[in-house]
Amino acid sequence: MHIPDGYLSPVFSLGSGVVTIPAWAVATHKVRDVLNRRTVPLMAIFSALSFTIMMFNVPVPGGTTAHGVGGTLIAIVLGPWAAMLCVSVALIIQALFFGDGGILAIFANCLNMGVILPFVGYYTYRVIAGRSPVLSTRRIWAAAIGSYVGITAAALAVGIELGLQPVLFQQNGHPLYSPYPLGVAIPAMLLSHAFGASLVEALITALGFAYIQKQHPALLTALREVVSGGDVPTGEAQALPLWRIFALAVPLALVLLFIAGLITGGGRLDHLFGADWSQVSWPDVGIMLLIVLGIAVVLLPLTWLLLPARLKRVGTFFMALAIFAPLGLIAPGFAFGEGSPEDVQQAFGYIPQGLRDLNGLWNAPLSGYTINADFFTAPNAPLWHAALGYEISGIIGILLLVLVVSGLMLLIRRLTGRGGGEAEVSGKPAQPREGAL
Amino acid sequence: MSLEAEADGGQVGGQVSRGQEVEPLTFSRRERRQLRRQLGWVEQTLAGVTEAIERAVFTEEHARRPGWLQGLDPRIKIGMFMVTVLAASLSHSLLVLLLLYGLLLLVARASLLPFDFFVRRVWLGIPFFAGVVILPSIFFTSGGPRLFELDLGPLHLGPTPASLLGAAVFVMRVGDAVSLAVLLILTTRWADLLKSLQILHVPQIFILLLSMTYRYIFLFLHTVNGFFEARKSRTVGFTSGGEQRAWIVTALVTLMNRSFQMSNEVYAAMCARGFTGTIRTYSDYRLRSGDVLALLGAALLAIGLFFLGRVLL
Amino acid sequence: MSETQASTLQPGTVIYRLRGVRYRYHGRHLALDGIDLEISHGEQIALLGANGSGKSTLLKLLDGLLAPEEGSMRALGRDIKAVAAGQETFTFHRQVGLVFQDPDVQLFSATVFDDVAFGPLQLGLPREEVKRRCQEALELMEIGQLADRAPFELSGGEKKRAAIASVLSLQPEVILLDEPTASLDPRTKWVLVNLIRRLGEQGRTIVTATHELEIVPLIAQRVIVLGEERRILADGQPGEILRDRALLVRANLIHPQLHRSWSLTLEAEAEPQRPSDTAASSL
Repeated sequence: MHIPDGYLSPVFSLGSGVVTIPAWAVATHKVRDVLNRRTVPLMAIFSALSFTIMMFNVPVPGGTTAHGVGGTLIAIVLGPWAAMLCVSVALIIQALFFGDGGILAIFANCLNMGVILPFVGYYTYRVIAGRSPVLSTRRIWAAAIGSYVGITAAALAVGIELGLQPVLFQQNGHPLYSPYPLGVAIPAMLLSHAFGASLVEALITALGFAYIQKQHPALLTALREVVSGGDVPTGEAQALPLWRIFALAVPLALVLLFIAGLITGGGRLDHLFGADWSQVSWPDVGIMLLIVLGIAVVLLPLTWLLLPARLKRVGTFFMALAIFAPLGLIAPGFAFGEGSPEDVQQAFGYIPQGLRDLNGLWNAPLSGYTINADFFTAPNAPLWHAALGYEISGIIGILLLVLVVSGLMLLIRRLTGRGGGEAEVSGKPAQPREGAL
Repeated sequence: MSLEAEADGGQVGGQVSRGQEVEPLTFSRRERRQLRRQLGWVEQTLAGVTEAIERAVFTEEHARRPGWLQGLDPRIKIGMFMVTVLAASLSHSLLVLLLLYGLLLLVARASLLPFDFFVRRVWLGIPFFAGVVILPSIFFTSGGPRLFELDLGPLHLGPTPASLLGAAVFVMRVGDAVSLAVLLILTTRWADLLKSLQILHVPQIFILLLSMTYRYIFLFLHTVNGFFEARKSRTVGFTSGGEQRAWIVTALVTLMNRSFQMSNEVYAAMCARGFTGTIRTYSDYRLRSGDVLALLGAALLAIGLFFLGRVLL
Repeated sequence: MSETQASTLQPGTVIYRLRGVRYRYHGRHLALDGIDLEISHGEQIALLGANGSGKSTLLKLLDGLLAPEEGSMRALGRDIKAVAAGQETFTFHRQVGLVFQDPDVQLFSATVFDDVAFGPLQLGLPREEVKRRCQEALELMEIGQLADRAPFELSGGEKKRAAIASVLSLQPEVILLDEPTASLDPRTKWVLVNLIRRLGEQGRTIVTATHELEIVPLIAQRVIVLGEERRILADGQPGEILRDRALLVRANLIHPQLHRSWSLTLEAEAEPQRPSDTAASSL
């Protein structure tokens, strides 16, 4: 999420200082009011901590690693203004010393990760935590959701900043800096974080918060004691019933998705996520849904039963992915890239047309595979015939794709010498063999 | 994704008991490989930490060498850096950017920086970030005749001369900016770099904050190094993903708790030497004629590059 | 009042007077329990005690960083509670310097020179004077060549020397040292022992907290033993205290099984070695 120099116009990167510098000034003032002479040592050491957190590699399910920012956790312990200073100082050192993120882009980077992240994270935490006791489970969820929302908001800000570049700075129609428009930059940043880095950050924050609650509850009140001299009621640990968690999280996720959709759709309700939903023929979608559900009901339990124990969950997950993925084809084309609205309408106008085109895409890399029976492709066949055809081709296509990718990975692993001896059969490579049935 | 994650963690977790029953010496190759993969994240963090420490030592070494940039006043160097990086960022001409890069190579030579290191450090990073990011924009372009065309279903892809040039300018500009930053960082000691921030009117409290942070980063890095080495030396069986994450979080919170204690002690140490909240620092920089000439040269270069870029376009 | 006192600290005047001092951390963990103590200017004192006996806390009290919870304490003619509350800290810390146990705490600047200069700069001394004092302190600790190094480039012994230099540059009349020789190699230890003796010969008050008995006769004429019940167990000459085997065992300073032939140090005490190093004596 560190924007390097050259992605943003210097006018823009230095210009973001208009927001960042006053924010720093206010933060320094606020923190000094509270901590007085202690400001410098406390902030310095927590900045160093923030820097160190950014260096931790956390093993993420799936075999890779990722690292978090820790901004929300620090904001919960020290307050958002202090967290803002800590993360900013860590970012400045990363830029000046390790070349992580540009030097001119310092203002922009500090705005995203230093200002937006801890503030959004902290206030989300506060809203969810409400007046619950310090040791309650509700606060763990509040911390996790807060950090998730915080880092996703920061990613959204990065997307907006990058997406503004081609709009604001171009010459003869050619973008001068980051070339991707808002419609591409925002979903790219948002999606990659919402399903990746943000989850890691939420996980770290939740685990960290729970650990602090258990081992060092003083950390959650210590600063406030320093500040106010008062006592914060710690209370007892309370479990939050599962249904309340879902009742909280599901609407929140829906609202976030809706907002993201509105932003990418330019604020028009019938253009959520940049797609023209008025072009969709809804009865066909209904039939499509029924078919997909029918296939899922048959195939998923079958997969679950047939797979060996250690592959059950992974395998079924991939099967579900393969079955439900073609549903995405309902969307009447995302207005990504450059195409004019007419192009988009023509290409993805209504389901059968869009599906037909994408069917071609599936076929392209695998020339031997086609479903050319009249049942599926006859020009006047009912729409659900066609939908069924696409569904089947979609499933097989995805499974083949998985097979090809895992085969390639196996090959690479062998070539690099790390594979050696017997093939290392973990979840992914073995799964398609079982799933192809 | 998270589903798969759970499964993976659970699967490895299921083997914990098996791993503990087996004698360490009789691990099969498969188990050994799994063990190595388990330690991957420890190794990764250790490598990152070691690299950070090594880079700091490396920087201090190069900043002490008797090169041209090293001999200049750090305040002057900040000024030179700012004008040049602005000129590079505002430039839209590939030729001007290439010219500037040539000059930077000469300066790196004059400052006794190892040539291959200077080039490698800049260009190994850029293809991975700038290059990968810019790649799709070369192909997904509108307007203009394409050099060749790829048809993928409804998608028509292909580079145009304009999109290629745009991408080259973008990558080159990022390369110039990163090279400039590397030049500044490698030829200036951190303490000098910080003190010279004063000419940009950065408040004293911020400078003290930065210098103390930098100092304690290394203390924490050494601590983390200790944590991870101890962890590595004790890992003899298989551990689950959940256990690994729990361990990381324990390390993290231990560090946070230590931070609190440490900040109290440091504050006491500062008070013991008469710290009353007012910050005073010592700097002993004197401008020489060579410094002023260098700054003038950099400013002229920046202006020259700016107008050259306008003329060429 | 305090300004005049700074220059007229006569040898032999009582500079610290503690009466029934108690201190607890966070209002819970007892660190000192009823300390009565008087220290005169020019004394070299070794403060002996096992881990956790309250040595560091007592030194922080003497440095005016903490204020006693109960009891009265006067230091250099001031009430220590006022000093700890921030009054007159400036003039007080001109006269009293504390070397912390952990040099990482004390070295908080980007370079060694900046650290050594921190104290004199806080005093508002002119730049030339700051520079001169820093050079003197660095040379006295034999680390002049490390002046522009960053703390992370130093070894443990070098860090310790830099931390002491950062206090010496203040030229305090009372020097408090917290475990100065802990985990140092013998040569560095010897350098420090010599330095403490030389500083003592210049008429300064020196309080060294330690649990290394072998250096005690070399650096002190008076020994105070803190017991594990966080009170003063004994106060006397190094000779008599170090011979009192039962006392040392009770204070957890020696262990009957580990120190069967405890008498080694006393030979050194009988004929103290003169410092032979040639470091500057201008301080």
